[in-house]
Amino acid sequence: MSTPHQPAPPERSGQRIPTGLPQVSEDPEKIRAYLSDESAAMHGSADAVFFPTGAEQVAALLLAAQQQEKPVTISAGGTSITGSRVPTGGGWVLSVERMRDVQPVTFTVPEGYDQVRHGDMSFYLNVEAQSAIAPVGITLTEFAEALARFGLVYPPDPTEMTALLGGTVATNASGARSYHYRPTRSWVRALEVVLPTGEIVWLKRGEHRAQGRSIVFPVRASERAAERGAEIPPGYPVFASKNAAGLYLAEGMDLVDLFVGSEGLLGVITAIQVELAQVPRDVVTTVAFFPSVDDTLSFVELLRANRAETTVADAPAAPLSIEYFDRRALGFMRDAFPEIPLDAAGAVLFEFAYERPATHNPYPDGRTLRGWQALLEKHNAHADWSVTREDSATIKRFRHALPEAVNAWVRARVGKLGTDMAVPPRHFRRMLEAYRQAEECGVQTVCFGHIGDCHLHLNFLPEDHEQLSVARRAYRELARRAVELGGTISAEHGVGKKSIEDEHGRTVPYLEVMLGREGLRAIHAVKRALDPGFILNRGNMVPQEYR
Amino acid sequence: MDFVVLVKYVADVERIPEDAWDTERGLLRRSRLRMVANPLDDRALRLALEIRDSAAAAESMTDGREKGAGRPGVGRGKVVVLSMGPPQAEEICRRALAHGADHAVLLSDRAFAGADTIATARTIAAALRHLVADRVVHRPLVIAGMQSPDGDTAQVPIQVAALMRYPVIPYVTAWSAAPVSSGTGPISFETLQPVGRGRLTLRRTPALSTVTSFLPELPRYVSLERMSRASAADVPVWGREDLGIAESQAGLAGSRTRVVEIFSPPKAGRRGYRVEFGGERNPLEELPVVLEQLEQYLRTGGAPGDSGEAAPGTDTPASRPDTRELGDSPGASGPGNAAREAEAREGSYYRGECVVLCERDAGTGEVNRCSLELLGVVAGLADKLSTRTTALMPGGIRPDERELLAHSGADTILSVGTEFSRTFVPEEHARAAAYALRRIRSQMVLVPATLTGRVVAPLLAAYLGAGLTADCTGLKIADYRGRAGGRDSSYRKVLFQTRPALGGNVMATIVSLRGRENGAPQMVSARPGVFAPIAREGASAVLREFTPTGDELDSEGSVELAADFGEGGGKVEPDRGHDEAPAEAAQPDVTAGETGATSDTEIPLEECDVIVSVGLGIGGKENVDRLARPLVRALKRAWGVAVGLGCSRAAMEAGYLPHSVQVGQTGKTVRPRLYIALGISGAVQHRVGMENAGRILSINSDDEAPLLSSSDYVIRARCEEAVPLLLQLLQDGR
Ligand SMILES: Cc1cc2nc3c(=O)[nH]c(=O)nc-3n(C[C@H](O)[C@H](O)[C@H](O)COP(=O)(O)OP(=O)(O)OC[C@H]3O[C@@H](n4cnc5c(N)ncnc54)[C@H](O)[C@@H]3O)c2cc1C
Ligand SMILES: Cc1cc2nc3c(=O)[nH]c(=O)nc-3n(C[C@H](O)[C@H](O)[C@H](O)COP(=O)(O)OP(=O)(O)OC[C@H]3O[C@@H](n4cnc5c(N)ncnc54)[C@H](O)[C@@H]3O)c2cc1C
Repeated sequence: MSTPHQPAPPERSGQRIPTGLPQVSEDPEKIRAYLSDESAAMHGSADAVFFPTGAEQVAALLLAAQQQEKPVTISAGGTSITGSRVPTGGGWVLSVERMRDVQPVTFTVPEGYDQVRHGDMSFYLNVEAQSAIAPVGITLTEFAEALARFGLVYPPDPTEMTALLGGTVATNASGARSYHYRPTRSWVRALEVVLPTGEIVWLKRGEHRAQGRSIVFPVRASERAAERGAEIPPGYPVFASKNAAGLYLAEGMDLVDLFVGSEGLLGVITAIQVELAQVPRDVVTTVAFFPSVDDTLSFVELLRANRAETTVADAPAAPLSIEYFDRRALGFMRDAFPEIPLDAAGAVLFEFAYERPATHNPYPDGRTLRGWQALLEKHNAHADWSVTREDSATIKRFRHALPEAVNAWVRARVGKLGTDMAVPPRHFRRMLEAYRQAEECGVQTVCFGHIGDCHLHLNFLPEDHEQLSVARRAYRELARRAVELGGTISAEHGVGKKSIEDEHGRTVPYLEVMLGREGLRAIHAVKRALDPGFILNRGNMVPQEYR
Repeated sequence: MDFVVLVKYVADVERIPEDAWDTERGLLRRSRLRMVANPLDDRALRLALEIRDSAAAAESMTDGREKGAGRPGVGRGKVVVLSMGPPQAEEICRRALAHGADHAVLLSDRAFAGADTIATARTIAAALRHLVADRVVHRPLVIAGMQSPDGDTAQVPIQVAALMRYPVIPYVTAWSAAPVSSGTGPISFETLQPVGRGRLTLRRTPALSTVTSFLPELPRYVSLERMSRASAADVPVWGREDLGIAESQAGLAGSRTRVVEIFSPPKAGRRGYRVEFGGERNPLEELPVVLEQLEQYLRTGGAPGDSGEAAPGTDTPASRPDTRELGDSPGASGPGNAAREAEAREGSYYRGECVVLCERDAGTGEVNRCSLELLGVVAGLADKLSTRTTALMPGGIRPDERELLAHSGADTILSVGTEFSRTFVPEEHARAAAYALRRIRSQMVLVPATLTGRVVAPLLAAYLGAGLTADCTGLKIADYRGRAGGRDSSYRKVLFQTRPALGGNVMATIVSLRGRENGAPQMVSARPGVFAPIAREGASAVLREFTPTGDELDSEGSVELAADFGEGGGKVEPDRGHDEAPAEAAQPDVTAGETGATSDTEIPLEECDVIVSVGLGIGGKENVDRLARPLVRALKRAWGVAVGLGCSRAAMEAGYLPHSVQVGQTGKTVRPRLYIALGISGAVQHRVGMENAGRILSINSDDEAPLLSSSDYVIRARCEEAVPLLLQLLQDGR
């Protein structure tokens, strides 16, 4: 096997010469940790893992890869469940885990930003402007801890907080509070990206936009710049809300948006400027149990209506998050919380921020609380569990009870199949009907998730392989239905290397269900423009040989 | 039946935020810590609410006097929460209301600041008296967590009981209402006993019980309805004047102890010393070194994170800073040297003998090892002060024990011929000790900080009006200059008492003040295994015997307020109304288990000095019995410390041990002085539960196990190979 030597300097001027190659490991034991992801459904192979600490090392590595025609797969926290960071095509793994300091190459840190150290990582922070410039190799947990000191929060909150900042931007991650705060995309102001050809660019929101349907890449000083563009086909879907499936392509779009959620297809993100928010000081989290699905839904619809600032008389505040657990999910959770009411048909977990009525009174004022209480009563809720910030750990435990119980169940069987679809609110009841039908397929299911965003996870839990194929068929139907209803096949996890059998038994990229051939070709074209050699993250979204 | 629950507003030492550490000065900034209700007090609250809401409460007072005592809502008693703390503590008062308490009162006043445990207890007792006098509660059962995680002394509730003359029922682990034909009978408590568990029936109140983490947690959530009631409720704040406490009795002014210094335990990186099996060096030569160093670490009182000794391989002698200070070589200033003796006596603030309140091991009936350890350290101190070392033996001594005590450092033995109940009744022990101590002149009293000693010591301190410092790990004699009782005072040759607090994250040095005003000695307790016993071959001791009558003993239980508190002391009256037979409120039904029948969870895992913890790598469930349990027993025997058995999540899931002893994110967070991991790979979820252990020893054959890199000692071997050798060495060594 071969590892690169010092690459030839880039042909163009205008960029600094790469300073050297990153550290590398060729120890098969070390490499093994990078060959699968949390889905454990795919396994790849690799000759070496590289650990760059900054953009220049990344550039040097990508140049070397170009020369040696080595596929490169980017790895961050490895928590993807789509195989997106699995090096199925062999070659090299580029792990961003050691990029823990900002090493500006193509930008200068603006005035007003101070360096903040936290353990062995650092980033730049402007408290006033509520903005940070951060490296990609830090976990969301670390970032949150460091920001907490300043009373700030980086709002995207995927469940898996060991994901790295870079990984979450590359997948446009979202979490429970994305209901209020929206997904990662909304929080990214600028990106430093190393393109597959070794150029390093700083993309700042507002500075690089598509000319109508034509995208031109800002590769300055490149004679080939003219070639570096792509056309957005008409009919390519644009989502107003949560979506993590496929590239973001829209008329007049900002180029930052192209890279957010691009699953590493177009370049390696090496630094990120994000917007921050003030930590809401006090938050109540309530879990309410309802006697029927209908009550549950009408309660949720009322909460949701309150978001659009149309004041709904009864709802005292707009929630930060609205989550759902169906009857079967509650059944699993009863292991850890036996006190869950037996006759609950569903539960809604919602959070709302509030001002204290007096400094040392930890609760919202009586009126607000009675308002919520009345609302719950109106929808026949028969119990509610509420906590303030102080006891939020319990709610965390409540949330985790489900995956824990489900995983324990699945471990003894053949695996689970989980959906990640979302539809526009006006079609949500239709989608629910589809879920209900799917639940009748004879395979055990649990349903839970971000009901505020009309984004539920229906998990199939097959007993054996036969049931697994039944579940696969039901899954495909659901995906199709979501698309029909104008929704997405993946609202937060991304598509990675997922494939699906079409009605003719052909295995096609999962994304094809949503974007069709036309859409995938468009993605292919953008990819080719930036990565003619198809060296980066081969197999994600669209195969190299796609036509 | 009514309840008063004591709830302390404490720093959350389980989750210390990174920025709470002042890394430059190595100090913990308390202001950065999250504040919560002591989690044990939450359990106490749950216990009170459960009993209140059960049918049992109505029936519990079997003597009939309580039933229908003319109050409305018979049976559904009240739960009142008392918290003394800063204004912010209103938060936890409201929280208790949201959970179902009927009332909450906040005791808050600038004048309360700096209170030590007796001053805290006095304030709480005054509030209790008000609640009783105002008929808010009637003959309450007071319930408190056994210990707070920050001040960490476990003294306040016991001293509240002493001041109120309420009998103490320490260490409740469970409760039940005995079923009788007509519904439910009296309430009974299961409690920790020196050996095993005991069952006590609550015959009458008032009484005070402390609760352990064996009781279930408070559910952390409440309904919005309850929340809105708690939000709107009135939380009265009572200050010093409301309670009628003299200024001189409150807060710092009313304290008998003074913190003179707070510092950080030196944080040492894990040293990662490795013993390889099948390597070049013979493990049999290295394992004894490891054991010796660990023992020495425990003995030198290293707080968690403290670096007690040098790494193996270097031959620097163990540094024992605190005990060495005393170290005039033996005999250099013995009691024979009259001139020095006189000079020394003249100089020192406190006068009299240095006393160790000795204890018997409840299982074997022998004087326990910790008593001998304390005799050892006291002998050194007494030499320096040119006074006598006295072994105080409540319950009398056997003739053959004289020699043992003399050899361990005692010059005098005070034997108090009393009989004790088979179940542990703390008042009996404290009264017997008080009886003897009032008949001699003592300048310091040391008590083993064992399960029983930690209850007896605060009672005794309250009886004697002494300050008490808990769980000391370092003792030395030095001079103290400072303000006390409103004037500058100079204290010559007093005991500097160093102890860990805040979960081992800080060390505090404390002195006892104002002892001359009431003749009270300096009092401290010290954990087993912290000091080393000595051997003075050929030494002998004088025996003095007391045989008090029952009446004489009873009178020892009263708290002499005037003597204790100096001027203005008479304002706080003990609750004379409840004087009748206080200690009989709880009667034992079933006594504790027999020796040897102790379960793995004899004391809470969080309380153990050493934890042996089992992972899947131990090599099969049968090895828990073959290797882990014998190791627990051998360490207990060899080192005389509290040793517990824990496990990893994987081992729990494989059914090796119950969830109640699982260590880690989804189990317990422990902070023992020594953590021995048998075949635990140590995923981060496990490490967060134990990484603050003082020392970590890993036995594992898997070189990749993540725990190895954060261990102080690594024995690279299968547990089947290594543990039997350790057992052998522990047996041979002693
Ligand atoms: C238990 C569990 C719960 C989860 N919950 C959520 C959830 O609530 N919401 C959610 O959105 N997701 C969730 N996920 C999925 C996953 O955590 C997210 O997709 C996450 O954003 C992946 O981040 P990572 O750092 O682990 O990236 P990886 O898995 O290492 O990589 C993800 C993709 O990003 C690419 N990539 C990584 N870094 C870069 C970079 N610097 N430049 C370019 N490309 C890069 C990789 O090549 C890969 O294609 C969950 C996963 C698990 C296992
Ligand atoms: C570093 C340090 C070391 C100290 N060492 C000593 C010492 O050795 N000796 C000494 O006398 N003082 C000492 N103090 C002072 C002591 O911490 C305070 O007196 C404290 O108010 C009570 O002690 P605790 O936290 O140990 O409570 P504990 O006695 O451990 O508390 C047990 C239970 O008593 C009840 N309780 C205790 N305090 C309150 C309260 N304020 N309000 C309501 N309920 C309460 C609660 O139910 C609690 O769970 C020390 C203080 C510090 C900062």
